[in-house]
Amino acid sequence: MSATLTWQATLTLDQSALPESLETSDAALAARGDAQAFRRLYEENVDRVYALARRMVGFDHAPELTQDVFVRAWQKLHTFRGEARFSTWLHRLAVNLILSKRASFATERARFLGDDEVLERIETRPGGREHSVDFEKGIARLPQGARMVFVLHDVEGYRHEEIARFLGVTTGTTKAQLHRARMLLRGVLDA
Amino acid sequence: MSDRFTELLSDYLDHDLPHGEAEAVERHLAGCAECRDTLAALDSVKTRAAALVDPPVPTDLWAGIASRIGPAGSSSASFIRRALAVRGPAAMGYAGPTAPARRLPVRARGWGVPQWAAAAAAFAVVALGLSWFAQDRLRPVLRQAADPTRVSPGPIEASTASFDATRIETEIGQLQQALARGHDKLDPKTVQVLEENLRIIQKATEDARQALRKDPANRDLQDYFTASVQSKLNLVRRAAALAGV
Repeated sequence: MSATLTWQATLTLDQSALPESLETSDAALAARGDAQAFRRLYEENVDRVYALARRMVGFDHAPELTQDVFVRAWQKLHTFRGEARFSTWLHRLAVNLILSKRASFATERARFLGDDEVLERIETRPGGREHSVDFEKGIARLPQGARMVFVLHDVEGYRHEEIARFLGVTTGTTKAQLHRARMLLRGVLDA
Repeated sequence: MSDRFTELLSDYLDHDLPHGEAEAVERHLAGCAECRDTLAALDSVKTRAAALVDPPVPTDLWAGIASRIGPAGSSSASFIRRALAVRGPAAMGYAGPTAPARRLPVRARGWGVPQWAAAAAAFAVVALGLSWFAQDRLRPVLRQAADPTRVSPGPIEASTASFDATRIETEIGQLQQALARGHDKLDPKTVQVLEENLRIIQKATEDARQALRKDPANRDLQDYFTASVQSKLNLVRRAAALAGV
C-alpha cells in the first residue's frame, strides 16, 4: 500500500525534480525488497548512470554496465543509510563499479586503437558537424586515463582528491591527466 | 609558448595553484598571447564539459535488471496483480471489479482538480497493472508464440479477449476526448501524467492484441488478458465516474 501511495504522490510531480524525501522513501522501500520502488529509482537515475558509463567505457559496453550498476545497487541497498541522497550514493557506486572493470575494457579497446592513433584522431578536426556530438566523440577518443579523470572532474564535478582515491593514484597524476585531456579536446572545439 | 606555464594553466583555471604560482602565471599571461589563447581554449573545454546533457538510454534496460534481481523483481507487481485480480481494486482504495461504479454528482463546470487527481491515480494503477502485465506475462508468451517448435494447447475462442481489448480502447478514446475538453482547465503536469498513462494502457492493450493474433489459442495469455482487462475496465469506469463523464 505504501508503494502505491508513493506512486500516487509522484503523479503530479515533475519527474526531473523528484523531491529528496520521495527518493529517500523509495530507497527505503526498495531496501525492504520493493522492486517497484527500485524501478522508480531506476527511472530517475538511469540516464545519468548510462551517460557516465558511456563516457567512461564507450557506447558498446554502456548498456551492460548500466545494468550491472543497478543490480549491484539492489544488492547493496541495505548499506544505504540515507546520509547522502540516493542518487549521490548510486553515482559513487557506479563510478567504483565502472573503474573496477576498466582494465578489461581498456585491454579490449587497445586491440583496436593504439594510444598514438588516439591522439591523432582527436587532433583531426571534424568539419561541419554538430559540436556537441563532436565533443562527445572527442571524449570517447581520449586515452583511457585522461578520459576517466576528465569525465569525473569536468563532467561529473568530482574533486581531484576524490578522483585520486577512486583511481588509487596521486592528485598530481589526476591533475596531469586532466590537463592532457583538456589540451587534446581543444581541437574539437576549434573546429 | 612556455611549456612550464602551459602545464600550469589547467590548475590555474581551477584555482588549484598556490598563491605564489598563480601570481607567476598571471604575470606570464600578461605578456604571452599564445598562453592566453590556450587558457581561453581550456576554459571553453571545461565549460562545454560541464554543460553536457546526459543522453537518454537508447533501449529499455529494466527488463534485464528485473530478471537479475530475482523473485523480488516481480514482488510488487505480484502484489498489485493479486490485489486487482483476487481482492479487486478495493484493495487499492478503489471500487471492486464487480461493484457498480459510483457516480459522483456531475459538475456543471467540468472536472475539478480533486477529480482529476483521483482519475490520475486510478489511471496510474491501470497503467501499472497493464504495464506489469505486459512485461511479466506478455513477453514470455510472445517469445513462446515466436517459437515454431511449440505445440499449441488446442483451439480456444479468442473473441472474448479481443472484445475486451476493443472495449477498453473505446473507453480510453472517450476519456482522451474528455481530457482534451478539460485541457486548459487542468494542471499541465496532471494532464501530462494522464496522457502518458493512457499511452501506456494503449500500448499494453495493443501488445496483447498482437500476441493474441500470433497465438490465439494460448490459454495463459487469454486468461491473464481477460482478467486483467476486466479489472482495468472497472478502474477506467471508476475514473470516468470520478470525473463525472
